Amino acid sequence: MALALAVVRGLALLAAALLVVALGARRISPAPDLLLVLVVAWALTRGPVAGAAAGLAAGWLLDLAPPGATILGLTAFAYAAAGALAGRARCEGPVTAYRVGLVALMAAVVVQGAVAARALATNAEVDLLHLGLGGLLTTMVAAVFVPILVRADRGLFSRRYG
Amino acid sequence: MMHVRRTPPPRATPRSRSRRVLGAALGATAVVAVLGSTGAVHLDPVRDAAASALGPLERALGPGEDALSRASAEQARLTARLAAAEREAATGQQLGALLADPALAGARLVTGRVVAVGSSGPSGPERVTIDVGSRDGVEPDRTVVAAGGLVGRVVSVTAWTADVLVVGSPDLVVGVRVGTAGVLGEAAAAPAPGGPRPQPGLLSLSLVERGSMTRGDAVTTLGSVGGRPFVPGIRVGTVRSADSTSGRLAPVGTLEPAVEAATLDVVAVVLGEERTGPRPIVTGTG
Repeated sequence: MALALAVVRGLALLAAALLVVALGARRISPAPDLLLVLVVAWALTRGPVAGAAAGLAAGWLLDLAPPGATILGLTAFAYAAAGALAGRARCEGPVTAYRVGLVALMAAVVVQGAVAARALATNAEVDLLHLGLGGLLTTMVAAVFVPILVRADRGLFSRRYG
Repeated sequence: MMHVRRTPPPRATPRSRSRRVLGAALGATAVVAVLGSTGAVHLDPVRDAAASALGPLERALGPGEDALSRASAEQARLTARLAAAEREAATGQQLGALLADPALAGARLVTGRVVAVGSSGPSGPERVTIDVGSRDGVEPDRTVVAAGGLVGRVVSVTAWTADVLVVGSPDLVVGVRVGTAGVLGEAAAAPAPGGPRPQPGLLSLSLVERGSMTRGDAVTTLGSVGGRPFVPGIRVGTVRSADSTSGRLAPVGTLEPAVEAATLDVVAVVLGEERTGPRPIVTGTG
């Protein structure tokens, strides 16, 4: 059961990563970070360790999916930090859209902050408007979909452990 | 007899085990990031494997072919053809101007193009790579020229490429003749002792003997033994400013190079022919 759950999560991350790349190919930008939405959802259900692990896997997928990142591993670190941060906000009971939005915004700030820091380190120009819009879209999508994902995940978890 | 009951070692809980696994994964990621950023390890096989696995999926999800994409592809093809035609015309024009330079009349040249420009120094590129090498007869310490004048000298050669140290590099000092009188001097990127600091894009020029130079004077190469590294009479640039009141014996000034290193394209390496016999003895007629 645990293996099946891990496979389902991995496939969901893979689908989200491919969708993010496909949106970019269709010049839809800025787009919501669907991987971060999934990471926030699992972090809010399972806590910081699971959140960081999901973030690490999501970041590695983005690092490796063509065209990939210039330096492998940096995106993985940023997403792991965002997942760990989101996991600190785990709570029992229903998850409100307001809470999810706040957590997703913080996670997006971590990820986009890493992008901005890398750009500043290489003297590249930082498009703050683009980064801000991307973060805002991610927050909005997370506020809508994360409560549904959390409910589904808790349902699977309770079915597994009774 | 006493029985000692040993307590079993504490079993790792799933929580602490997952923490350990996460720590190991983060550590491995850190190692990969550091090795990748320093270039110590080439991670291309990892990228290739990921591209092989995910590339087909991305192709399937990517935008398909439609009227707009076909029109874009056609436009890209036409743009490429136009660029190629324009490049050919420009190359021909530059090559014509280069070969028409009187200073190069009769010289054996091999023409090439700049294919790489090295890191920029304080006043522009310092080294460029050209697409001709030892198989084309290029050797180190040969003069490199462009349509405007002197580019620099060859410093290293491989079979198909050569690296050129361009005028304006701090490591390059060129012996020159200034003006119609042919006063001897030297041009360099570094300021001459007591002379003005050249602005970016200019060279410092210092005469080595008493003489005069004025703004607009032509500056040409003095030439070296066997034409290496510089053949004589190649235009280096024009005098931009001259200062004879700097307290030096000889005047100093600045020089505007004839060739802008940042826009170099078609160049030629002067192969030269070394003298093999003695010069003829002549008799004065006075």
